[in-house]
Amino acid sequence: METATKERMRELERSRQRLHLGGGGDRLEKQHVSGKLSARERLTLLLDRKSFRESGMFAKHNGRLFGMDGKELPADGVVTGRGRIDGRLVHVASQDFTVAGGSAGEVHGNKIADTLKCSLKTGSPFIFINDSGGARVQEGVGSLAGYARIFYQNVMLSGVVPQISLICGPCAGGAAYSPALTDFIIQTHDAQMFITGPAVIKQVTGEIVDPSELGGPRAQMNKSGVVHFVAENDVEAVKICQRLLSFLPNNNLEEPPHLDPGGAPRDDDSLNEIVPEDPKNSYDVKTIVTRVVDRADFLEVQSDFAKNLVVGFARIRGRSVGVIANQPSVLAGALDIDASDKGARFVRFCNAFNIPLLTFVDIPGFLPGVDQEYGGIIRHGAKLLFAYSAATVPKVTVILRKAYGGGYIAMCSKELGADCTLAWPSAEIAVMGAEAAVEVLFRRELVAAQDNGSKRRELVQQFTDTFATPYVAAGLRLVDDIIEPATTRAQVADAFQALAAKRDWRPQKKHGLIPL
Amino acid sequence: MAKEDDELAMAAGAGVGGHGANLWARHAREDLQASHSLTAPLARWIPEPEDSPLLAAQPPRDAAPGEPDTEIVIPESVLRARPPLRLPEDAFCRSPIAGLVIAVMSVAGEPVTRHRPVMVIEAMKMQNNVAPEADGVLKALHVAPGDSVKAGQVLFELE
Repeated sequence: METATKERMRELERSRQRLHLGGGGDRLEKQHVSGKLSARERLTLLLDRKSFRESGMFAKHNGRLFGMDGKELPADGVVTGRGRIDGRLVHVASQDFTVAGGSAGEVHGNKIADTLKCSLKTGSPFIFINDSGGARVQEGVGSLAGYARIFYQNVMLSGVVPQISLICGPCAGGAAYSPALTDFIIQTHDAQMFITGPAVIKQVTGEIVDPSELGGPRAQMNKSGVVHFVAENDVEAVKICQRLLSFLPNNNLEEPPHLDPGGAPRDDDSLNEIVPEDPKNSYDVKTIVTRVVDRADFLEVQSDFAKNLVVGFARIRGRSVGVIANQPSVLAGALDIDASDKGARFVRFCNAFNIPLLTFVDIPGFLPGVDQEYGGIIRHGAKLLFAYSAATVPKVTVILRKAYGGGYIAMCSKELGADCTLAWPSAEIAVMGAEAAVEVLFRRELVAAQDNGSKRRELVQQFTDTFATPYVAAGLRLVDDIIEPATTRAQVADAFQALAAKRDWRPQKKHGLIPL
Repeated sequence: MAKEDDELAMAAGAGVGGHGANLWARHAREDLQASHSLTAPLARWIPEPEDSPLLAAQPPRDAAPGEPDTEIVIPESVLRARPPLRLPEDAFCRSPIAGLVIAVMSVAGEPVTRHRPVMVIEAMKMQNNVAPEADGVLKALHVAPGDSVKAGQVLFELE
């Protein structure tokens, strides 16, 4: 080789090595001490070995003012490119906190927006690892434009390819809206998300709050429901992301990956015992979910938000399903504002990505209360009705116990388009519970009766025997079949197999108007 | 793909082979897509190869036996155990629902555990367990069995 060529090669290698270090050894050390991995380390963990192909490593920022001119910011603070996870193509962007605090300048934003476009062109999921101090103030509105381009592309991709955000460090101000526009947010223990930070809040409203109380994962999961998964550290966050992707297709024209269906489903006698005989007693619906799905493998979404409704991903004979289940041990399993929002969003995600819906019903109704009404339970509850009715994927519903009134309808009843509705013998499908019904129907008789108590008991028993069974609903064909609980897995698997080729037509429209 | 799935796909009038080979279902989705967006259907992406590593028992991410995985060393500081996250309101457990206290399982001064029930409230004709959101010691109990409680009422305090 000629000397000049050799020198060019060496120059390339030197540049690469320099840029690979990001903000340099000291800052990297600081990142580690604070319990975080670097932007590149996170990608190495996330992607298959040696599969990462970077694009834009040599990108230069265009800040010229406030001492920015001539300053080198490797990759402009964000590592972007493509790689593979379990052999499947994904596009990634990972913010580098060691480079100017991961601040987002215009080029930084444009790099992320371009990576999003690549995801859309190739129909591959997009993963965005956030660790940034916010907008790069020196670049002024240029950095705002960069953010806006990311948001716009997030919306373009929405419902076409899965988008997952990992929050592994600060994510404050406008930056928090890109994760919010993606499908799932995974936040680590030490990370914080908020629109306005503690300092601004103190200045404006006088409230004093520390950053982790304001935007830590407890706040954003339990209270606001903004995040979907909480991870102990960066390593766990990456593992959750990989597990989540294993349930999802690469894009909305494909099906989720099929895994080995395993042997023929066996009856599980313990299912006959889980629902208590006394309707006052509760149980954990997750014990039923894990017994029905493959290998008890259930990835719960938003496990600490609106716990009265359990949602998550699982597989039935190797095929992904979205599970939605009432949780009788929390708020009696009633639907409230938060549970309706949580359920509706999950149903719409599954429908967008061809993931069939499996619904378990044990619901006494919508949660009564002044705060619920003032909070708009009518419009929020309507979201669940809307989402289920609009979903065209196969829908199988299993009624475990109570299915009363509006709650019964909302939980993917036959009339909302359930393709197969199965009821356990313990199912009580009725307009309302027996005691409430007797109160409404026989108020006069009860007032007139001499022995009020025994008359009431007699009427309640009469109503229970007549209506609080699955047989009336089955007689009206609102239930396809009444099954022995032990056979649930086999029945559900069979129904989904039969529905694999389901077609469903909808009228042409730009989009429906879900009551947001 | 399992044999019975192939049979099923054929029964539905679809071709067999390739990932997600059910053409019938596939075309339906494409039609749907067009009707939803009022634009031309999106490009048809090339399906994943049938021998997707997901189908293999072991994901390829792990290094082959004997080959050291030297690409990344995770520092101890990243894996260290974090203290549990707290919110100011963890100290006050409020009733999630209006109802009747029917049982209290702990007494003041006792240690309590996150998500382990401390009392039972009957509401909407159901027994609802009430548990603290954080580990701690029960400082004060404000209700006793037989009391009616409102939603949001403080039931007990933690230290």
